[in-house]
Amino acid sequence: MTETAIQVDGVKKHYGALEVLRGVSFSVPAGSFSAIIGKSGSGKSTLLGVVSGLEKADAGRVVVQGHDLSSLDEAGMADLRRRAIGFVFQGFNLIPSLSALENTLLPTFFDKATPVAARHRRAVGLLAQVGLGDRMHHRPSELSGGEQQRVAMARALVNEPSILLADEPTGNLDVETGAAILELLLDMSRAHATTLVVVTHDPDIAAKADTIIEMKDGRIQHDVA
Amino acid sequence: MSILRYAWRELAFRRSRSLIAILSSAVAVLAAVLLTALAASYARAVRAPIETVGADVIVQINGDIPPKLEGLVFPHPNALVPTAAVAAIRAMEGVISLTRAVYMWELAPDHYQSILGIDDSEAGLGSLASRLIDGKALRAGDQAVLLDSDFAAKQNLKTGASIGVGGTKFPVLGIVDAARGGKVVRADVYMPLAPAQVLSAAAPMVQALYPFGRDDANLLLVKVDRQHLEGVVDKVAMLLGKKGIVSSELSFREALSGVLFLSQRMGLIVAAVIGAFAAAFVFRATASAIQERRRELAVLQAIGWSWRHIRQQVLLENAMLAIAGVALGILLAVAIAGLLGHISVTLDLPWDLSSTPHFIPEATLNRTQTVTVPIGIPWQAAAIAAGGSLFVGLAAAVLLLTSAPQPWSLLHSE
Repeated sequence: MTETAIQVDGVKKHYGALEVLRGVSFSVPAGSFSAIIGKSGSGKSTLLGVVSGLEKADAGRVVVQGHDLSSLDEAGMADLRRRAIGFVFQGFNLIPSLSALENTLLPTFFDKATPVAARHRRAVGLLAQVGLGDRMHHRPSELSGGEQQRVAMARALVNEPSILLADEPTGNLDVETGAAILELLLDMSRAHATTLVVVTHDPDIAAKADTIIEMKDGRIQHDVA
Repeated sequence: MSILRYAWRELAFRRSRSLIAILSSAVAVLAAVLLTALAASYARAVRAPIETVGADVIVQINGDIPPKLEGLVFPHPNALVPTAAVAAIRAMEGVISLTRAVYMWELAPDHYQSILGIDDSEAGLGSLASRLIDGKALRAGDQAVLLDSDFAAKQNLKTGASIGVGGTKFPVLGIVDAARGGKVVRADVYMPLAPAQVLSAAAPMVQALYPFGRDDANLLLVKVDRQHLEGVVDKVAMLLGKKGIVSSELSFREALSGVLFLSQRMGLIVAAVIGAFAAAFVFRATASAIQERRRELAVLQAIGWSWRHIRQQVLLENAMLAIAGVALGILLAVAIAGLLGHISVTLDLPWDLSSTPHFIPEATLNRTQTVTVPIGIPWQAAAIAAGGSLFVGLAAAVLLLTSAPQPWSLLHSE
């Protein structure tokens, strides 16, 4: 029996009078690659926010790695994200004052179980895997968009999460760089055996997914395996 | 990589904002420390003249001018202090000790000298012993004198010589340097109280005015518990009436009321206003920094930092800014205090204990005293200012980061 990484049941979300999610339910098997697609305003990005616990659902239930998010307080949610979830954003979201290596190390600050040297080795290794072994001491402003997204991927994987959430990871990149980043994301995800959920409007990305969840007006239009 | 290093990177990255926050704290600390230092220096200046006579309160009574200015006379402000008044003052609450003295001038056509006969106490013979530069200290039962070093040099008198006072010869037991740091009333000739009382009781120009006996005094040096100073001064003034002269640091406070008001009250107000502005700056700088970093803080939440961790980080950054501001403020205060060095205040002495009779032309020189007081750093005030600055910095971070926001709106793509 395949293990479920993410289980979403009847999730609703309002922003004032606007109903963004209208009872969404789906599940993501562990180790799979799911793509959430849909037009702008369809609710796909909000759905990712709810799954990550960074946005609270108004109704319904979200279970991540066996943890019901509604039962976790803020600190518990942070702990779950630190241990189990890695993020890659469209806007890279690196800390501008820190170098690539320091950005990669940020999620490990409160990992008391792993020695500092081991965390450092892991971050350096990940940066080397994404091809930035020689640019790890550069700040984001000294890196190209593609390079920044590679740093973001290294940062997302540094705590060895079981789930990787990516929100339009190629949206701010040119086609060629975007394709390269996507390939890298898939490779890294496979190499680290993570469950990958990507929000995208790009059909080429969706075509590579094991499951496509198509959103329209806050509902799942199609759930194609 | 640690949270300390991250904090340092953030502060260095937002250099202008960090500098403004540091300067705000520094200016507040500088103002508080420097104004307190000046106020403390003026307060010390006010106490200095009275401390040089080794007492907190000097008690005298205005008297009359003798029929002839010859032989031993009491200076005009040194009339007989009644025995009952001495006993009443000694019994007042807050009086620690009372030293009786007899202060006289000896006038002759070709010379004059001032004589002080004084009790054997801390403010009397005891303080003279500590200023001895030659010879032996005086004891209560001695029929001998000590000479002031300036007077001895002028008269070419040395230890072992003798000097006539009121027609009696006294051996010179030693020389004292009362001018420099001496906590003693200045006089040319010092002797124990008893022989001075005997001389006064036998002096025609004293007896012409007062029934001065062998156990009387015309000058009292009173040590008072500082908490009771105002009360004692008021009670003594009331006891002695209009002719009483009660001198203490309070006498100078009136003369220096303008400066003291500026340095103490206004100093406090100015420091408070600057402190309030600095606090507002720190709050504003923290609020702007948090606003500017909303997305960054959201990222930290996304990668698994709890709100408590985030608040700790901002607290650490603000603490570092406050510590830097405090250090800079104290350094500047030390530097400015060092550059200024000291304050000088010229005070009119409210009592007449001049070793030179006032009708001698050079006597006017002795009626004022210039007090020079170094400007020291009041470390207690500095510690309070430092604590306040740190508190403001930490309070700003705590108050502005009360609860965790839902950060997804700052991070998502749509």
